[in-house]
Amino acid sequence: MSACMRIQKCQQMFVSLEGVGIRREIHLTYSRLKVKTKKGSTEITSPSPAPQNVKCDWIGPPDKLSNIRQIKFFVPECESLVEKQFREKRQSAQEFHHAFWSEHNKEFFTLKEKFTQEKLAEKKLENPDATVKSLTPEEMSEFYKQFLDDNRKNHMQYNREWYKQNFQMLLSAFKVFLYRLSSSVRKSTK
Amino acid sequence: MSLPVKACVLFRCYAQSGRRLQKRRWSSLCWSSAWTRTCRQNTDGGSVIFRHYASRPKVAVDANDNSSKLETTSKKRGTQTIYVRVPNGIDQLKQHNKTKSLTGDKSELNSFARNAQEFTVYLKQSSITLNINKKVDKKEKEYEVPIPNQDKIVKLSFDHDSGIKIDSTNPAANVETVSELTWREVKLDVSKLPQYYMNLSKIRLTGLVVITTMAGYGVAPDPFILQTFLLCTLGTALTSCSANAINQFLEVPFDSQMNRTKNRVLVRGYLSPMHAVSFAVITGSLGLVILTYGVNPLTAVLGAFNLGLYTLVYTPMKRYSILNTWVGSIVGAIPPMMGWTACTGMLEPGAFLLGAILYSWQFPHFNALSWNLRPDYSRGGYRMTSVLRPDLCKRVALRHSVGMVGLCLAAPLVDLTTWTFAVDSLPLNLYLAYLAWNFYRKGDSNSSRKLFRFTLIHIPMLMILMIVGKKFGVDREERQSILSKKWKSIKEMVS
Repeated sequence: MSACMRIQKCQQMFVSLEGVGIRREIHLTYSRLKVKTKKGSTEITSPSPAPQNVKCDWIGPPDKLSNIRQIKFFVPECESLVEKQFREKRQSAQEFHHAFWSEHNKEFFTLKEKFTQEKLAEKKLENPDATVKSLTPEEMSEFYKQFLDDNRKNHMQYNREWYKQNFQMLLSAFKVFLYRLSSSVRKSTK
Repeated sequence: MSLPVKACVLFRCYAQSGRRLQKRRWSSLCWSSAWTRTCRQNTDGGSVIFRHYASRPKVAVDANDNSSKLETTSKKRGTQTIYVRVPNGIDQLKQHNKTKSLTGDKSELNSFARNAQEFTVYLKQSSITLNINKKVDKKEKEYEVPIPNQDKIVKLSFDHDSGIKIDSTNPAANVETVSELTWREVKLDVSKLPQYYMNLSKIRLTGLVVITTMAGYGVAPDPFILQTFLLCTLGTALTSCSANAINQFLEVPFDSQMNRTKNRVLVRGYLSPMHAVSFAVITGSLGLVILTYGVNPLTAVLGAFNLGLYTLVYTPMKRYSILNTWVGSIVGAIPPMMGWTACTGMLEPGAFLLGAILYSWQFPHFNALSWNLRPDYSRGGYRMTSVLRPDLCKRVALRHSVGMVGLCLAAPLVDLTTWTFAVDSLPLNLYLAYLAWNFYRKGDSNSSRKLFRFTLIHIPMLMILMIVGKKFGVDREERQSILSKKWKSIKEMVS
């Protein structure tokens, strides 16, 4: 099935999904996905970028490596200072999470594969006839423990930073809430 | 498109010192896996060449290789599958301009096998398994391998995903719904608020907590008052909702990292963090007010203590210390005690025994659950016993399951139940101990899953049996006099 056909099929599927009750515009990104519909399973492939010219905030799919969802922030024309601060805080928090988890997960999967290969090679040398293709969870647990211990400090730092940012963002969100409340009250009194 | 000369890939093995010990020919483009093949060659040759294949070999190009060894390799040409572990750094080898792109297509591979140039590949450091015959939509990365003595390059298009093999324990690699691939407006869908709130308060967990509270109330010896019972249930449920909402507020990026938690409302952006906190503040204060004025202050104090313990101690502690399971067990032990105090207004030995039973139950329950989540906890940075001290994890589960038998047998001694409970809870507890023993002995995913599932049935059954076997007829004054007598005797013994 060509990519073009796939996209067509995928569009058809979304037309049918709209009928089921999914209303919003759907932007597809990367990867392919088997979706079970009433007509059977369909394979879709359609890379699609983040939406442009948004009228409000949009939230995207989780990043492939960091699992952090991208957010496309809407910047209003007459953005007040508190709103701007709030948006910037969220933006920087998102970048912070993305950077940390990309790096962290990359390290995890690279080291995991390396560990697996080394273990398998050792096993093979001990017992050349056996066909061992994967390690048992028991053997893998050694790696999990090692990785968790090695990253302890890293996580503690990240944790502290995240808690700090989280509460700052909460405070900021509250300020924005108060600001919007007061401005709407002002409008209504005028 | 096709290359003029016959093909061969030679792999050379290096000793750990980097000195070439043995030169072996890679016979063709056909091998089940580079790794297996290398090892087989080692055994054929009778000498062990390298111990850590994965870290030692590296793909490189040998320009000085002579082509005399090629004839023997031609037999296995024409096979399509090639698995090559290619190191991350190979793409830095681009030097020449003449290239051939190998897409992994069957016919093209055949022609490649027939016509390709000889080239030598050394594996020096490898980290990934690649199957170029597999057609994948992943980002294709091309590798150029210069051909010795010919000043040519063979360009291989591998199934290669930026050097990392991500498995399905990474949520984004484990796409389950369309919504995991789509962009969505951040807008509050008011019609779905009840669903979001249920998700935010982890409704099933809250349900379990409330059931234990109800059982605590039911087992307590004082007369049953419907109003107090309902208010106690409601208050506890609201407090639990609040605790879970705060927990989710604090764990958004960590929840994103696990398949089990990736669909939580805050992770998916259905609710804003401030919305969640407002929900938690409202439910929490409402719950505590109900407990204070509708039930009694002691129950409210226990509820507030538990709320604080869960959100301020347990939640951060998961990422700092292995002791979190024990703290979490205390959190689980308090709700039935709240049920008891709601009924009697005081903490008695029965309440503590009830708490102890729930405390002990947490270990087989949680340890078995966390056993299969070790990859997630390791990557997510949760310091769980199952990851850091697997032996301790299994031992503790077994210990508390066996202890459960003793605790239930002790129930008649503190007048919590009659002796019928001690007898009819025995099969349940013995089966729990048996499953925990299996888990301790085998320590595989199957035994842990069985244990976890059984704990889910075990605790409601035990609560029902406890209410059925409840001891009636001991009224308040009598109990207090018995208690004070016991205290006196203990004091006398001490003095």
